[in-house]
Amino acid sequence: MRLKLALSFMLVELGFLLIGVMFNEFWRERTVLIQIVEITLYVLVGLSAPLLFSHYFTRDIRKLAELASVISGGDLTKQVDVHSADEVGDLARSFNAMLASMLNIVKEVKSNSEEIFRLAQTLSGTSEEMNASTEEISSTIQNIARGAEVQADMVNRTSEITRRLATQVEDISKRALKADELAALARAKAEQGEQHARSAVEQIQDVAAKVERTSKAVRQFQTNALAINKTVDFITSVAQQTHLLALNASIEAARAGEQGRGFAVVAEEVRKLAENARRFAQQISGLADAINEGSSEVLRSMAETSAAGEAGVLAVQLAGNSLEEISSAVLASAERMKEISSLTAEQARGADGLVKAFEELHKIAESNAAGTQQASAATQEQTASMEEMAASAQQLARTSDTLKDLVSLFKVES
Amino acid sequence: MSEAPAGEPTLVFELGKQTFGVRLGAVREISEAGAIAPVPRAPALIRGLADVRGRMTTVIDLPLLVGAPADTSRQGRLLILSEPRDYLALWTSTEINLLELHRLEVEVTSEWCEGHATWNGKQVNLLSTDKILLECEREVLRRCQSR
Repeated sequence: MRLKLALSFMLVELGFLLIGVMFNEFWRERTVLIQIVEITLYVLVGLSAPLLFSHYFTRDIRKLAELASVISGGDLTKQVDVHSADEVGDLARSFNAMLASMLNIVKEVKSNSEEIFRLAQTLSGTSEEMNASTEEISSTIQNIARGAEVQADMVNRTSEITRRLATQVEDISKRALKADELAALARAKAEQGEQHARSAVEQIQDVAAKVERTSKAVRQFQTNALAINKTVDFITSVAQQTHLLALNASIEAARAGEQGRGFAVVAEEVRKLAENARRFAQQISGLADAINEGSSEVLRSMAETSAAGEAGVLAVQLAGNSLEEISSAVLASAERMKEISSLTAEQARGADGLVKAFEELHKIAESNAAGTQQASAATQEQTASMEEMAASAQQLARTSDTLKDLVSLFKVES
Repeated sequence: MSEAPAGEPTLVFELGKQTFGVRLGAVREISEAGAIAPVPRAPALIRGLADVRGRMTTVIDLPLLVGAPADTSRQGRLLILSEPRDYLALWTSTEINLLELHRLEVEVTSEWCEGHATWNGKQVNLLSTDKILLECEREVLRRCQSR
């Protein structure tokens, strides 16, 4: 450049020299015109030479300036086309080298930032997934915790029930013992009842025998009453015949007229007597009938009493048998009661063991509940961390996105 | 009885709701009715034949004659009529009383009655043995004619 500038100055000097020489040679007599031309030429050369030279000299620099302006727009794909070996050429080469180096960097940054963006997105997605999983785990653990609490409660309640059961079993055992005592008492009572039943049977049989004797007496009485009736029938018959005879006597007396008068009176008296005799006989007959009926009633009643006595004997004997059966049943039940008592005692011991086992279970269940609660808390913490991480990943993605945008301002491919 | 004003001695008995009487003079005697043999083809009015002390006597069913309820009892009495009708007897199972009754001056209403009297406020229809006999004969005749 310096060389060029020197050469150009030398050329301009040479031009001026040439013009001066030329004019001095050809136009000795210098006229005004010639002087004017000369001056004009000087002016022309003096004006055009700087213009031409400056244009020539600034050509490469302008190229550089253009490229610089393109680069400032972000396009790094262009290269300056300068082959001169001067300072401008050096500048252009350095410029090109710088551009190439920048292009490389920008390309690298671009690809890296894209990679980062992708990774950040992946990270964000993964962290969200993880977050969701952790939340699920958390809720599951909470469910487990609740289940463990319920279990603990259940175990507690079962334990309580078992305790009550144990108490009841003890109670049953006591009652069974008491029932055994009562059974012994009942047996004694049943035996006593049996004795009473035997005695009642004897008494009823005694009464039945007495009733039988009385029945015989009453039957005799009835036979006598019937005999009275027969006698009375005979008397009645005699009375009727007498009455008839008296009537006939009256008829005869009436037929005899006045002579029969006295006889008629006698006949009338006889008739009245017969009538009275008949009436009294009827009364006696009625009384005998009443006696007969009464004795029949007594006999019937006695037969009923006898039957009732027999039924009573049977019933009392049955009752005696029942009491005997009751006695043996009570004995058997007493045995069973003893068995029940011993069994329930055993059961009570078993129930106690069960209660202890349930208490142990309760402790375990409570510990489980506590453990799951801790796990739940831990997963909640983890969830929080995950959320933070997700936020960071998203932040990172945004940042890398910005970076990418910035880098994309540079054009690295034509 | 001996000094009583002369009432007519009458045998009185009840048949159904009515009271009947037969004059003592019309009756020879009263006897227990023993076995009565029924007469074949005789009118129902004739209860049968009875042996009264060796005499065959025709027994007239008095309840049937007067239209009282039929009396099927076997125990009964015979009012054996006086001569010349002592071959006839009136049968009744009710009680017979001997009373002295005064005949009423009233018109006779029943065809086999001869008069009326009162006893204990009840009307007593006095039976006419003639009319009864007539009735029996008419009955026999009717049966003969119808045959």
